[in-house]
Amino acid sequence: MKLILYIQQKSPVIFWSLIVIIFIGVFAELIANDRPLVASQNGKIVFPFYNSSNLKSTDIDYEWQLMPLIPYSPNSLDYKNVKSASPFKSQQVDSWRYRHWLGTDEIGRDIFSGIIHGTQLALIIGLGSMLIASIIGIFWGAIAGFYGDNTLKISWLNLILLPLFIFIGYFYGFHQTVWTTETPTISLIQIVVLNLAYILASVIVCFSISQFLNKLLKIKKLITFPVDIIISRMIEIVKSVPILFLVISLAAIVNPSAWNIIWIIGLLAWTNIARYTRAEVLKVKNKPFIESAEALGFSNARILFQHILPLSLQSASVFIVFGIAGAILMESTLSFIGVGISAEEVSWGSILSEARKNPTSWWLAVFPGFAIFFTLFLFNKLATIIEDRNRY
Amino acid sequence: MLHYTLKRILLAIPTFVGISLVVFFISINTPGDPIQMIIGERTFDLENDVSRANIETKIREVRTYFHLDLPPFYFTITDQTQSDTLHRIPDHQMKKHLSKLAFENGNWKNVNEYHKSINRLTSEAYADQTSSKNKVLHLIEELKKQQTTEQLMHLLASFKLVSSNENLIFAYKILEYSILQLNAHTDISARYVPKFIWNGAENQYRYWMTDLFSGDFGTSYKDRKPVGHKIGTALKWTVLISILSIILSYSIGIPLGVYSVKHQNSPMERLLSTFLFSIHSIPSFWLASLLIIFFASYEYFPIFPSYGLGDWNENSSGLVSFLDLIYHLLLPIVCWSYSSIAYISEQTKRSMLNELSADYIRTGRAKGLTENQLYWKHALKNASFPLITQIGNLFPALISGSFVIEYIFAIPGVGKLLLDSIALRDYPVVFSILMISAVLILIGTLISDLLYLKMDQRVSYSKQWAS
Repeated sequence: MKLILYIQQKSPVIFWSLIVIIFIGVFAELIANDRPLVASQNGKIVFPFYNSSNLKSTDIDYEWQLMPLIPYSPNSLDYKNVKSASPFKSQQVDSWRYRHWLGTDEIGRDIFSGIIHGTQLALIIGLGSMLIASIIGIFWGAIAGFYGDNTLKISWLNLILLPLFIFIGYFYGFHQTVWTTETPTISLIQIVVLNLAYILASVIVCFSISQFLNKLLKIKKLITFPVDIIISRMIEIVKSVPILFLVISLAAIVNPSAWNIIWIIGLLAWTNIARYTRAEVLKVKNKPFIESAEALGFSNARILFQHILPLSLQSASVFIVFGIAGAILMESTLSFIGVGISAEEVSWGSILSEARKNPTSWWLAVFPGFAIFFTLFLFNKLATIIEDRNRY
Repeated sequence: MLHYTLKRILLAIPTFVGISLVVFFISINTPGDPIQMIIGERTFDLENDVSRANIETKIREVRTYFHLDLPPFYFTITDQTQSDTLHRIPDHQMKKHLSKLAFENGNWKNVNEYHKSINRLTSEAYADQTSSKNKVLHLIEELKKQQTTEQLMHLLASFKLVSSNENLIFAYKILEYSILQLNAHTDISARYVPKFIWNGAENQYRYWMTDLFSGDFGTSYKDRKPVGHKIGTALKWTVLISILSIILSYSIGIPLGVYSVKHQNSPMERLLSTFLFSIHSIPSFWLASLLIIFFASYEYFPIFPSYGLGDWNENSSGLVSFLDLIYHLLLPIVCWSYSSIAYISEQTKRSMLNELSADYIRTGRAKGLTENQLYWKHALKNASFPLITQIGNLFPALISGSFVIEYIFAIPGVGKLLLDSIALRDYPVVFSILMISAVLILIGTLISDLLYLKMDQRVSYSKQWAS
């Protein structure tokens, strides 16, 4: 809350632009649609925009109707204005109300409407994938920073149980679930996510059970478990694979949908967040108030989640915001290349790729590209504002 | 120093193995039948016996050539219903069908009988010359898509075979009987008992890794050319353009950085830094599209060629053809390097500001050196060390960011090769590119880490000396 007020005071232009973009993203259906917002049909008030049938407004007779600001859906074809109508030249429209303010593409789709709906898709992908990435990144980063290489002590019993539990988690969790569902409906992304989730769950269960067993059997001899080295290797592995190459390879293999893109980016883009959370946790961990918390006998979990994480989240938030910009750029790059999202979904990148086919229609490149640029600029600027705030 | 270097290099080994496992895991989970991709789907429709025998020998050859008849990894974790020898079945879809059926049914022996009866029916159907041949083949294709024995029974109930060929009828009866057997003995308790199969060194992963180490990246599915050669030729272009754009970004970025340090807080500097910041947010494919539209298409200012490399080929030499190449590469290089120009100037500014507070700058001023001498000769010299280590970070970014620009300007580099191979589903090329670029990035970060350490040591050394 404080942060939002800070941003609004620091640079109101950036703040209100972000609000506008989020507003457009949330209410895209209300701003650009080929069905009326409110209409009267046989004396009853109806809200046709809500109804997702493919009927166009011209197909039904309404007594009166209120059209949205842009009376076109991103996929509705205007047969009178095919072959890329320029925004500045005369168009074959009924009135100025139906003018294509930013022109049309080869098959007569409205560019403005496409950009409005592209905002929605970009925000969903940017925020969704970063939600996944920050959960993964903060989790691993916090654990690596908190336990380090010499803090986590485990017994030999734990070392024996660990492979066993991973095996059990894999077999009874993952193997049984995947095999009982019908094979064609399971995608590669789901397999990866399920597998990781089950193995992680079994590792956590194993650690808590063996802590309990250690107390029960009074095992005194403990060895250190190098958590940091293992997590750093994990980060290095994900960081070393060129993320864009991997994303296009994966996006070409799995079914094209926005949901899959969110998962792919989320599962790969967490390394920066993890690295900086780790560094920040390391810094906070040695402060005196943590020592006193330890002296008071608080549990590790309480110290980590209540005292260390809230402080280290501040610096991770910079990389989350940078990551949103990165994810939006990645999504638009993918749809520009023509992999990733399905053909029905309209994205800034897919509109821009139309410009490649007919280079004389400059409006196909200028406007969606500017939308990408503006959004990336806003998020990058937001990240630097938060960074400056953290510094002082 | 030596200790750290050794530790760093040793730790890169598990990372390398981890990367190879990730890439290998994706590569074996790609949808579709690899053999069909290699041979081509159309050949499977041929119906006469001679070509069928040919195809079967060809499939066998291809399977041994690409090691597809081996289990994928050192070990397999599965349940008791599955057989150890499942990987020997050549037909990808059949393999999936049988293992799913075994899981649902719990009895591998009956599933095996069912498999034999299907094989028998298939060969009888191929031998048959009447119209029931296609009908039976179609039935088999349909059977392979089913998941449970109930579905098999259901499909069989709706199928009527009328034929004068007794062998065919007999084979069909056997199939019917084996499905009935499957249905009669269902025991799913075995699926809850895990099974660990040790496959030994004869597996796909081991062959893939040993081939990688001996420099053999496999053979392309499509044109049977060695993948290493294909990537090598493509990498030449990507590396050439990357080096050119690194040179460009350093030679523009450093003066810009020094300028903005020298004229700090002047209006011109503020404008420049805002400009450089916003350059970061420009997507490279947008800039490339705009440049093509306004400077390469016939509508506006056709100054530059819009794609390709001109007349350049392997045998070209001489200054004129080289200049022609540069002329063709000018737009791509601009798109390639604008964001690293901003990055380098930002880094220059940061490390120059660090240096300017040092003592020797004050000494230099007191000695009466001019500002230009101070900035360009003394401060920049020391500030350039962190800049050099940035090459290790910049190079991988340039390589992996290359594919959009190569795609737009049709440059035959690695990114273009990757996109083309993905479109053709030529997976050996795709996964080799992933592997090679991952290793390049690993080496790049390793080198830049070590360089940084060396530099850091120098700094700490000088501090010690000063105090």
